[in-house]
Amino acid sequence: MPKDIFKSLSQDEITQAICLNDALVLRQIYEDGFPKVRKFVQANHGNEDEAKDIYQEAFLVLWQNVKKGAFIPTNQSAVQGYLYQVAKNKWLDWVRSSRFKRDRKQEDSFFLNQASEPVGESMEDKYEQVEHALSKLGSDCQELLKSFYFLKKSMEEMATTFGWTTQTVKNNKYRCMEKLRKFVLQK
Amino acid sequence: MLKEPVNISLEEYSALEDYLDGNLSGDALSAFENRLKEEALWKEKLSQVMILREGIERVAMKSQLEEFHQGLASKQSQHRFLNTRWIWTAAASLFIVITAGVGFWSGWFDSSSERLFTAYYAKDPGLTSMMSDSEDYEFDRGMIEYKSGEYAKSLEFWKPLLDLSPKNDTLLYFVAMDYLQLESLDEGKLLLEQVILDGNSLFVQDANWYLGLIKIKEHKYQEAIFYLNASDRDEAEGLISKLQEMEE
Repeated sequence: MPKDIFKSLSQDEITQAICLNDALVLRQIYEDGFPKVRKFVQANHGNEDEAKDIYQEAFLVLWQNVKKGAFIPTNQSAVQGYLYQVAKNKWLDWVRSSRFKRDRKQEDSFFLNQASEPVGESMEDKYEQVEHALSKLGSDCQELLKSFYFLKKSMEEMATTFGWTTQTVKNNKYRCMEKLRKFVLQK
Repeated sequence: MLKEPVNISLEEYSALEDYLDGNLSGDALSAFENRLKEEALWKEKLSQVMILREGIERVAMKSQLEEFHQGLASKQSQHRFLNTRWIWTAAASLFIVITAGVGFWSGWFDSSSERLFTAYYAKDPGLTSMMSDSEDYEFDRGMIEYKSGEYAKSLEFWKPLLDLSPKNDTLLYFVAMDYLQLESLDEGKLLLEQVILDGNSLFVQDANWYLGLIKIKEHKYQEAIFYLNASDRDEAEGLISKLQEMEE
């Protein structure tokens, strides 16, 4: 991928690319930002695996905040600055927490799932329930839902991919969502 | 949220998703929002669908991040491999053998220019808003192709416009940018020279920068320095110093 990908994108295009889960743009952000966060974590009592976990948590925060409009990236530097700051704050929160101290004593590798804000924490629980329920769905349903909600494919594209009519796509998507909802509610 | 086993019909799903996707407006949006205020159950249904959608997207994103990380780890291991001492020793030996061969100096000369050009050349990001006459549409189409990296297609839109308006500096400059991207440096050079001759163009300084870079590739360092000096790029100063060192 060309290094100047961000130079060719306007502010709106960067935002749109992140919202649409553009793999090229997201990968570049990911690869550019990790070394600096790893260096920070390793310099502050952490290891490579912990750096990866904290970085991925921070990446999700960046992604969600861009989608919500809570953070508007003006360019690649702004994206990297934000990502680094979130990761740094999360790591500092973790290092200050009593859980970190306890885990260090027990040499336990259990890590994270800790958000800085209480609101994020409760949402995280709900997302985990969905994650667990999603793993119980058949592979066709998983593929169908991922294609819609992550890859942002249209009904028409899905109809072509699966060899269905658009009405069948709509019905099957509904059935998959209902199955997923029931699995979550059963928990 | 996701606490009550409520029924959601297919039609209700469609309506809830239309709202979440921002597809509602005017009366339909007002009616939906009023219903949210008045019916707790409707609000609950909306929350459930919203969390499911976000949860699915998030799971997929987490899996994508794992893939990114694996790709990064593999790049790093390649990098570490290349950094090992033995390979550098071998590379150094190979270098000595190669450089002892015929044409060392000309080869070095070429690669230095090429390296400098590659190091400093970056594609012009293009414009977001365009000219103000009826040619807007065609120009915009060309700009979309240019930004997408489809330079030959972009030329198909811009060349006829340039034929109609051969002195239009915006067209001269961006057609030149297409040629540069297509590595047709001679064509690009001619157009950039015309932009510079215009004098009043907003693209004069950028044209000077790119013309300077082309001159580096042609090993005409004094000319390159002349053009780079006339550009407004921050990097020009450093680049000029390097060229002066090469000249010595």
